[in-house]
Order: sequence, then C-alpha cells, then structure tokens
Amino acid sequence: MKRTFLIITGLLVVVAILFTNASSDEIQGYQVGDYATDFNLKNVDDKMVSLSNYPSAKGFIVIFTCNTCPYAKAYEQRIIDLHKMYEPKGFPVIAINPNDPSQSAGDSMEEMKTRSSERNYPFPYLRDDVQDITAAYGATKTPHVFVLNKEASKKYKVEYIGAIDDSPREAADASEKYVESAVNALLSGKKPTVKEKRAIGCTIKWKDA
Amino acid sequence: MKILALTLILISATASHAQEINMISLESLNKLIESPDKKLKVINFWASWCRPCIMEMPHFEAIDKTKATVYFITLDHPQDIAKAQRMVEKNGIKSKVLLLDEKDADKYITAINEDWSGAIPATLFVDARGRKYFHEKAFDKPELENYVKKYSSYNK
Repeated sequence: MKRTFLIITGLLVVVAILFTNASSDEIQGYQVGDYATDFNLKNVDDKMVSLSNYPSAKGFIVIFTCNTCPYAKAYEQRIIDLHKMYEPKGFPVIAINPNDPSQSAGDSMEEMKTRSSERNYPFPYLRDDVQDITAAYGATKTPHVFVLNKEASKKYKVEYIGAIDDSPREAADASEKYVESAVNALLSGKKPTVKEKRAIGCTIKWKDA
Repeated sequence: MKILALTLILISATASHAQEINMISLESLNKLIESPDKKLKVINFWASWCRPCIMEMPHFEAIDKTKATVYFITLDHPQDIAKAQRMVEKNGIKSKVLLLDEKDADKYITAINEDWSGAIPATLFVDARGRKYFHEKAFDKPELENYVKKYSSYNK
C-alpha cells in the first residue's frame, strides 16, 4: 500500500515537472477565435476603464503600445486615426501600455500622461501594472493589436491578432491595412479574411520574476 | 605606375577596415540557415532603432569564434542602411552584418521561425547537427556565453 502510494506520488511529480516545462517554454495567450477577458485598468485620467464601460460598442481595437518603442511611435498617428475612423462606428481603440516602468522609465504613468496630452490621444491609454492582462492576451511586443468583436452574449471574441498594416516605416507606403480590413469585415457582419499578421516590434519589458 | 597601384591597394585596404553592410534576400538567408556547418551558427536579428539590440551587440561580437560563427541580420528598412552602418562602426563589429531585403515582415518572421512573434532582439542558434534554437529575448553576456557553450557542444 505504502509502495503504491509512493509510486503514484512519484508519477504525479514527474507529470507536474513535464507540465511546468512544457508551459514555460511556450508563449501563452489568445488565438483567433478565443474569448478575451475584460479588464479594469487605470487610464491616464486616473479613472478605471473596462470593456464593460462601453455598452454600445460593437467591438474593440485593443492595442498594446508604449511611449518608448520607435515602432510604436511610428504607428502613433495611425492609432489615433484608427480611433477617429472606427469609434463612431462602434469600434473604439483601447491602448494598453504593458512595460514595467522600473525597466523603461519613459513608460511610467506620468510619462504616459504627458505623451497622451501632448498628442491629444482621443482614446484611453491604460497601464497594465500587474502585467496579467498582457500575459492573458499573449501580447509579446509593442505595438501588438487584438481586434475583438462583441457577441450578443456580451463576450469578446478575438477576430484578428497582429500588425496594424504592412508598412511600419511610412503610413503612406502601406498597401495592406490589416486592422482596417478586419474591422470593416466585422462591421459588415463578416469574418476577417486575414486573421493574423506578424510584424517586427519591441519586446515587452516584463517585471523581473 | 607601380607606386600608384600600390598606393591604391593600400588605400582600399585601410578603407575596407569598416565593413559595408550587404543586402540579403530571404531565400539566401534561408540557405545560410540551412547550409551544413561544422560550427554553431549564431544569427542575431536587430535594428538600429532597437536599444536592447544595440546593447547586446558587443556580447555577440565577443563570442569565441572558434566555437561559433556570428551573423548580424538587420531588419532596418533599406533606406535606413546608413543608420545600421553607424551602429556597426560604433560597436566595432567585425562579424558579418547583412540587411534583410524582404518587405513582407509576416513572410520572413514565419519563415525564419514559426515561434517568433516579431519582437526584437531575437536570435537563432543552429548547431552543427542543423538543429535550431530560437530565443526571442535580449541576452546579457554570461547568459549568451552559456547558450553558446551548450549549443556548440551539440556536434554529433
């Protein structure tokens, strides 16, 4: 009896170790088709923001971005334009800064306040201090977009993940505008044809474990 | 005449001390990754605007060249090649530096490694057996040395 118990315990330990190793190597996060979690994060106006604060929204353009990444800066105006174009149609931009300010001082709440007021961000710019939302979504870089469609059940389905368009350097050179195409498809009751497009970006500055 | 020729050779020899960054197509990069080599290949992906990339450059340049061959692949836009060139000169990079000449980021990211989300810095190690190890992260010196030691020992 004692031996069986020991063997079982041993097996459980082995399984636990295998499981931990497997999961620590892979990047967790949402795939297209998954349901995204709501959140409650602090905005640059010190108020808390959740997706549930937008009862009339049809969906969201959630963008993990920051003050400091040159690629994110290159996309800043395009992010503002996305919000201006799609917020009236029911798809506002929600920007989330995931970077740990102790490793990236330029991404502190104070710096976010300065940047967003200087550039007149028309959308909320939130801080994910705990980084659990960033981890849950599986964002790995800035900028990193998740287009969510609100379903009748008030659940948020991930319909597109990745790049804003195919031209990080110059907005004018973009030949494929992935986020626009995805949102346009959803607005006309269709599924986006392009569901995922990768782009180069800056690594998220994670807190030291 | 002889003297002139000699002078020209001397001038070109001094000028070539800072390397010129050449362009590489995705096809050629894939060939470089797949070509058999008795030594470990360390292929670092960077850009002139990426601060953590620039900070780790000297660690890669310091890798023991008897253990591994180092390649720096810059993802800068071809129009920004001069910016990349300045970083190479500033850091005294002697290892091969190439600019990836492929506009479609999604295409090259997935081609280089399916696990790569596109964040840089990122590094691909290819051991002497042709096995690949991809790390989407910035390295400090001891950590990089440990990986080089580990992967360069896989040669049978």
